[in-house]
Amino acid sequence: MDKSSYAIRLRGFFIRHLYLLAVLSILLLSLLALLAMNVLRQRLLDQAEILASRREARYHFVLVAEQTDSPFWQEVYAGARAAASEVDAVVELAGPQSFSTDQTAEQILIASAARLDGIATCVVDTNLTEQAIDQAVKAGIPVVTLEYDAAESLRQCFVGVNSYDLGQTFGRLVTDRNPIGEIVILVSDDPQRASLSENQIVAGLQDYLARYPSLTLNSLEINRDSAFSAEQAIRDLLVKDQQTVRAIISLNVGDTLRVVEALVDDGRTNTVSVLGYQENSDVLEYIQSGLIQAVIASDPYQIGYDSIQALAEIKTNNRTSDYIPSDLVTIDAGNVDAYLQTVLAAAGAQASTGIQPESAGERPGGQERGQ
Amino acid sequence: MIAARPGKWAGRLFHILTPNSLFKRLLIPYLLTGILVGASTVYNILSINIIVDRLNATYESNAAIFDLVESLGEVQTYTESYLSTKSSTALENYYRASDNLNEKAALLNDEIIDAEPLLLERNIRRMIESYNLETQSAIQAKRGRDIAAYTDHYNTSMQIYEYIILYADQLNKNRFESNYSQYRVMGQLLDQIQLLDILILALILGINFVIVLLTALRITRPVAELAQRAGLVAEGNLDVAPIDVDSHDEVHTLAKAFDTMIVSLKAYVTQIKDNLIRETRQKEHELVMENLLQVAQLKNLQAQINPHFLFNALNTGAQMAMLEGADRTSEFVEHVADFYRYNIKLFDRDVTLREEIQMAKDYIYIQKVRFGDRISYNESIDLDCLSIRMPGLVLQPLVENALNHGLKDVEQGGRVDLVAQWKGDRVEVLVHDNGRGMDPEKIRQTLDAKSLATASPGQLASETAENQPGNGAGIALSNVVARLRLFFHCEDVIDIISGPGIEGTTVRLSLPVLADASLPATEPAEATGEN
Repeated sequence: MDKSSYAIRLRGFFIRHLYLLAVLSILLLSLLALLAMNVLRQRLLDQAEILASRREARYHFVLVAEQTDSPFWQEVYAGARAAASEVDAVVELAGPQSFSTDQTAEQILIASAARLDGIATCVVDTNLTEQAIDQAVKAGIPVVTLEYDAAESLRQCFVGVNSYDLGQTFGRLVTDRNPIGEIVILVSDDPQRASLSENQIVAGLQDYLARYPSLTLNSLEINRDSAFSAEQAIRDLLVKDQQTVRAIISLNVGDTLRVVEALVDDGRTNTVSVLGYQENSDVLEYIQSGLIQAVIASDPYQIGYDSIQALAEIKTNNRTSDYIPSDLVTIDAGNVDAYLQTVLAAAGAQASTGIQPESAGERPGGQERGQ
Repeated sequence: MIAARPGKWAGRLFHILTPNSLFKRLLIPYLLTGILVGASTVYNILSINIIVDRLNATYESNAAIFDLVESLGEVQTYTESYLSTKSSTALENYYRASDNLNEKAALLNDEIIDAEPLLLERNIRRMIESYNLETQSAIQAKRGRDIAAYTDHYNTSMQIYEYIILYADQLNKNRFESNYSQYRVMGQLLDQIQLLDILILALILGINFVIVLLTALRITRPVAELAQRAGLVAEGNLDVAPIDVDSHDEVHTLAKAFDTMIVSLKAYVTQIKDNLIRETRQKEHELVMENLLQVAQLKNLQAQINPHFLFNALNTGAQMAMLEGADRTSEFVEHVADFYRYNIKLFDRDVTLREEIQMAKDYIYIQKVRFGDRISYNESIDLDCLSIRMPGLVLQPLVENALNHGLKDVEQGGRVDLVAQWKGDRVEVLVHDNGRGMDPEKIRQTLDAKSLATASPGQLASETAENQPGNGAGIALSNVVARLRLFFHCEDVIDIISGPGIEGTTVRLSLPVLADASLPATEPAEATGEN
């Protein structure tokens, strides 16, 4: 048996089974074509078809945010979604992508017109928002305010920080480092348009500082009509100041950053402590580098989670508690690294579980506080 | 039964697909090719159709939103027109437009499903419901002439109208974005499908080419071989190798039949040839044998004109000599009588060596009486070998030749020796004389079998007569050679040894022992019966 004899036998086999081979190749081709068609169909299955396979939920809620693409509100939304999945609901995120006063009220009106099952909203422009909230509640749609309250409206529930407590905490932080001198708190010039219950914060702060006669508290009223007026006011303050200001308290992230920038420009970061409310990555960075003494942050995930739970409770039990307090976290140089770790871990967990974070347990204490 | 069914069907299918005829062999590749190309085309059309359908759906989904907004605009227009004019046509138009809008809104999603576009649809649908309620309320209020109420409802409806437009825009944008991304995916898919099509087509063409090529080769190759062989056969060459055709179609049958035909033809031709040769040989053999014997007998008869008469006369002479007391004369005459008795036997059969030797001895006795002491005779006979069979009238002519030719001119001391002995499986008979010998040319002529075979019996007779003019009774040596060879079917049965440096002439017979079967067993009885 040499090579050529094998070649001949192989050739003989091939010729003898020519038609078998042809039939096989047809089958192969058909299989290939079928496979290709299947792949095609798979890839063409449009989103709606995939979505149609999802289960229908019981409730349709909307979360009206101050600014939908900010990390804070994304975090609130994540919490809201987590809660929604627990109570068999779907929650929409509505609101402007960038800051706008008008849209909060409008979104509430739209939600009313669409007769949704519940609205969780922030309050930006108190007057307009309150009107919209009242309209919705009158139309039988439960409304929960979160983070910023509209206490005068017919809203069923508020989820957020206790402003008086917030003021007290600021007082404790100020006195930790500055036993004497002037303390300035930045507030809005129009209390109706204030996001927070600023009077309550100031009251809490004043009550706390009453024990420290060497400290004076002044409030700087800032016009919110223009994005640039805040910066102007802060720079004016530093120019007029007689080197007596020891601490500046800001109630929003934008102001906090503007204060730090102004102080850096004046070279006064060593003499003036900066305290803020809420954080973002820049703020945390400044805490790490010591430019900011500390900030007090609420837990946006928990706020979102609690607000949807409250709406669900209203739908099922027809009532809920009037106020659900949100925990406050003080972030300073001592715990900023640990805080960053938890934030990053939570962000990573959300990324890996997709857009719908199922488990609130990933955030420490989230579930107990939600009750 | 049920289990056997698929196997049966598969077997039938396989049988149908097995190319056992030229028709199928030609049809199947064509069908296969057709199926392949057809499958490819169907696949192509289907894939293109899917893409086109998808594209249509993409644009229709956007167009539907524009339709919806348009209908909404109509409702708004007729509401306004009724509120301002309170005309029945406007109201009619309003209801028609409202129905139209509801119809379109009914196509929108109303389920709470966690997906942005679907929730947008739901919101729009429910806002349209609210909007309809408001416009209806406004129209009711207008009928009731409640100006404050209809203004209020109209304003609310206007607001909702704006919200709907806002959401419709958003949905439109949303759909456009998803459609655009789908469109891009489809574009990529189209490219891939094209590539796949080209690949499949190339594959099909390749397979097709191979199938057609192999089929053509398979059909034409055996036919060409067959034609070539048929050409050879037509030229008369039957030595063609069989064709190897492993297909099972008509060409195979043809090739098989061709091979069988060649084999039968060859066998037939060989048989005819063999028969012819055998017959010719036999006839030739018989003819020559007969002729030679006739010549020999003729010669004998010429010499002994009336042997019976002479034999009887000689016998009477021998008895008379005995009665008169002439013993030697009596013995002589007896020998002569014996010699003639032997000669008048019929020689169409073989005889034994014993009889031949006896006759040779009779002849020598007679000659010795004639020639006296001029010649002497010696014999050395192995008695074992006397019963072997040989043609008649062989030894006597040899002895006669020795006396008349070899010892012709010898005055004194001439000698003839006769030796018969076993030599291997043959019997060797030597007839030796110490005479003048034979010249080589003569020996050659005598032993030349060819000249003998071609020569006619008449020629042989005249030749012998010419060669030995002085001896009419002598039977030609050539005649003996020819008969011996014919009888024993071999050339070396006789040899003549003579020439310069050798004393006299020796004729050597080397007689094979014939198998019993070839011997005519009746011969001795017949020979004795003749006497």
